[in-house]
Amino acid sequence: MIQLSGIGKTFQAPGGETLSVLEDITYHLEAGSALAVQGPSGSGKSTLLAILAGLERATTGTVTVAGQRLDALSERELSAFRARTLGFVFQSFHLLPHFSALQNVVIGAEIAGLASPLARSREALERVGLGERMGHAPGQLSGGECQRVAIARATVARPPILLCDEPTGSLDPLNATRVFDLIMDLHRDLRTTLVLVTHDQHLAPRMDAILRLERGRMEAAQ
Amino acid sequence: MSFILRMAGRELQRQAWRLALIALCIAVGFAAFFATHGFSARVLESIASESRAMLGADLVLSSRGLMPERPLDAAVQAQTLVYDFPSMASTGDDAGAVSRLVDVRAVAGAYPLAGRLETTPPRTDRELWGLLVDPALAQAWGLSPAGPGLSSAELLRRRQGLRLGSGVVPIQAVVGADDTRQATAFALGPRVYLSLEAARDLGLVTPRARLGGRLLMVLKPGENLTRTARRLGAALAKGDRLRLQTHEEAASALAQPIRNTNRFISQLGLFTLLLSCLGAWAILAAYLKGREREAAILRCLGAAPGAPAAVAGLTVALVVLAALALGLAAGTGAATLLPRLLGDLVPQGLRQGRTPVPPLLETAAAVAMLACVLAPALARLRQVSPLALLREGAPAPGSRALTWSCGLTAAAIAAALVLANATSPMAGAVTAGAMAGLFLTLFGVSRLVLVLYRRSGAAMPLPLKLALGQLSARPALGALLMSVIGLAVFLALATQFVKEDLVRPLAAQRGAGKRPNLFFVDVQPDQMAPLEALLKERTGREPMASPMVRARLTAIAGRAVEEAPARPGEGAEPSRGQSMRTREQNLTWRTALSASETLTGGRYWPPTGPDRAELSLEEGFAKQVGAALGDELVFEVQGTEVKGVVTSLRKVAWQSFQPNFFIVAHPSLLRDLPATWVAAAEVDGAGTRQALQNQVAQRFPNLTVLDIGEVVARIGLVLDRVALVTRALAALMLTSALLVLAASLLAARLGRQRDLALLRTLGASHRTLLASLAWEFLLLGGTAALGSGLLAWVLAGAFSARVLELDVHPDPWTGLGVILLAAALTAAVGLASSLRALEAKPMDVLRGE
Repeated sequence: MIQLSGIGKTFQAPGGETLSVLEDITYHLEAGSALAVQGPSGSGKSTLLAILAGLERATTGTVTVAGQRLDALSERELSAFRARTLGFVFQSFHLLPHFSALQNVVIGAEIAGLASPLARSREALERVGLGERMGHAPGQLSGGECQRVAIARATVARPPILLCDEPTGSLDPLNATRVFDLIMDLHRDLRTTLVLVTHDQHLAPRMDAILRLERGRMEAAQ
Repeated sequence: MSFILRMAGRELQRQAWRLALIALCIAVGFAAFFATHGFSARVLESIASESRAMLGADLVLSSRGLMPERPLDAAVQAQTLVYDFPSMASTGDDAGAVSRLVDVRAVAGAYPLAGRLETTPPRTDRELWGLLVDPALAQAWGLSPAGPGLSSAELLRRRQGLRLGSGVVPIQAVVGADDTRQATAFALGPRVYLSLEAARDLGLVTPRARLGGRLLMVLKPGENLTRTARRLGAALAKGDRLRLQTHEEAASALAQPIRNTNRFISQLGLFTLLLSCLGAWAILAAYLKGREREAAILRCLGAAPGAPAAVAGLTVALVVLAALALGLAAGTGAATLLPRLLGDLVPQGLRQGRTPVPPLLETAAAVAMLACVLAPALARLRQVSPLALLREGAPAPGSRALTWSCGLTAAAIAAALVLANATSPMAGAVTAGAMAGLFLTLFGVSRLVLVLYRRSGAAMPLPLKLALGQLSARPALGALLMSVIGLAVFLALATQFVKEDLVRPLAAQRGAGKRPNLFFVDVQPDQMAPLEALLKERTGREPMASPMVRARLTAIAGRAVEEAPARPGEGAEPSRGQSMRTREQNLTWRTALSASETLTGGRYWPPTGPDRAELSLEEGFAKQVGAALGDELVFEVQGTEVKGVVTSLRKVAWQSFQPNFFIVAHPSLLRDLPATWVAAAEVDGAGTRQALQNQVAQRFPNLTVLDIGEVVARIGLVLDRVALVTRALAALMLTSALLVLAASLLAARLGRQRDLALLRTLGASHRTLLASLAWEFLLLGGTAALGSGLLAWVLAGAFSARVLELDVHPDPWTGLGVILLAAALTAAVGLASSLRALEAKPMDVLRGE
């Protein structure tokens, strides 16, 4: 389902030197499985996630997601790819602050081109347990509730792949557990392929596989 | 596409108030422009469509002095001879009689040939057997139409007749609608009509009288106006000193004062439009900047690369369209109010004019300008990377090249707008350059001040430090806001200063008889002594007296005046020079320079000594007619040729209001020629002046008396009316600037809310933050107003001194008042716009991120 072959990413630093963020990452993730990506800060976790989402282009190597080589796609095609194939959950939620929870999800559904965006959005919010809070704006929701809205938005189109960047990083332990459980439940129910970046040592073992990065290199995969 | 439309709809819905305020801000500028342009359009339309009625004929042949007899041309259906001249009119000979200068139109033949002259009671057969008087004069003096068979004394007693010239004329009717009567504010006095025969009998129309003749002609149906005008013009002999004009040409000249006022007002309206576009740029750029994070989220969700920019672009386009519609509606309504504000500065017919057509070209140009300045911000939205959500160091979108090219294009469009609305390319270039220079100066000074603020010392109260931090955080926006506020204050103050400089010398009354306010013209030599005695008796001061000889300039330095082409350096407008050369000249003689004159070239003749055929010219006049030191000028005075050499040039302080002349001759050159006298006296008090006028009118009925106090009052009225409109537009500009401030603060509300929330969570008190906001906006408005106020002081002073040649004494209290008002209003609007952000609960704000 996801095939990384010799992925490398370098940047030009302001002083002119070349910064290598990722080096020779090769990995194969089966469809429907759950992968945790771990590593210290600066190890390249977010960069790897960005490459998987088509937000960043690898300097070397190839990325094949759901049978599609991402380096062969144009900017417009990558946008369409993200809309149809990916769901993305951020650490900071990144909800649209002036829209209600329902509207945030509807916008995601419309971008994905769903036939009945309103009905599907209601369904997605019900699924994450926010059926009573659809009309509330992000400012009126707790951190956990905001993240659940973000999860609803990411899964409204039932994407084959769900990418999560430290989804529990901004939450207290109780809410973190609840959100993680929700993500895992959705992963099972929707049969999505899950890639989750996390520092949490308690959550990672609940995934099917763990990929550890250290200074841009794959240290271990289990 | 449907997603874009739906997102734009959502944006309009949730941001309704903010977008409405932005639209209102832009609408103010459009409204001001549409109002003034609408007024201009109506003036021009009125002049164009009503020119025939305004003139009262198809063609007019004008002369200075008596019109020679002319037979009816084959193409002409009817013609009427009219003479226009000022004369003193009075209500009688008794002690209670009043007199004043009136504008007499003496008519031979049917009148008018075209247009309306309605009277009460109506005239039958358009016969003129008495006086037709201006309704304002009739009301002021209690005049009414005369009954039959009354004696002169009885006519005067009943106020059914007026003394004019050497006799009493019964009042035939009071004038109602009069198409040929232009804006009354620019007239010396109310108009009266009488027959030419009666005017001759009264001694008002004589070969030596100061009057202009016009032969009005109406063509036969089917005759071509242009061809006929060309033919008749070609038939005029060069020595005739006659001028032929069609009704369009003549009416245009008649309406010149209105055109000039009109141009000034329409320029102010254009400046307000440009100011609003600047403001719109500031607001909408801030609004689009605030959309960048949303754009990143939408891109991350999979929206097409151009979708966020398209949503924002569509929203902005709808806001601008709404602003246009609102501005058009408000401006069209205001255009009908403008003539009322201007009062008798405009002809009455103009007040009922049609609703003007919106200026499509200027509107399209303004919209194009906005599109240009907003294109870079929209391009940035297009380029927003979704990576910005994952990584703070994601490269910021934007292209300097695009920003500069769009900015220059917008500036070029603005310059083109100014040029298109100017009276000439040179005037347009100067105006555009001045405005650009002003804006760049204000912008540069604002940036510099912000940098200085940023680098100012650390030892200052916390609220002030926070305020300076906010001002420095967005220097470009801060500088732009300062420039917008500064421009509004500059225009308001500069026009006020110049107006005060114009009015002050007119209104100044100083004693010692050196600042006369009552002038007596056409005094015959045998009348001079008794008049001087009368004036001395009534005023206790020696009046000033100058002899005056009327002459025609026939040659300059050997070249006949009619053939003399424009010489290099003659003057900016050769046609004006030709007009100055061919008009009737008033010469005087004097042994020494007067107190209001300064020698600027050559040498003045000594007070005693042998006869000299020498002339002294006013330097501006010399330049206009193309005469220089050493040139011989030839004059014709009632058939006698007079020659003199220019031996000196003078500068005259015209605002001294003493009898001054362009051409002064050595006494030996003119003293044996027919001359009249001009006397001038300083008389304290309007009532005393009026009484003296009455007495002079009774004893010397042929004299024309000019009460400068009244002239000053009329000029003051004109200036007040123009100043009223200017102040209204300046207030509109300031309002627009403050709306810009409010709207830009609302556009950037989220960022400000976050900053304030963070400070509250760090422990800053509500009071501290309120104080910091107050400081921030006081500094913003105060710096802008102070900077532009000083600029207005300097530039307006330079304009008054160099261009208008006036004494400059700008009132500091006016400047200080406007500066304090602008600062206070900026602080009030800024605080009011920021209160909501201040009152938001910190946790709600921070959680909402």
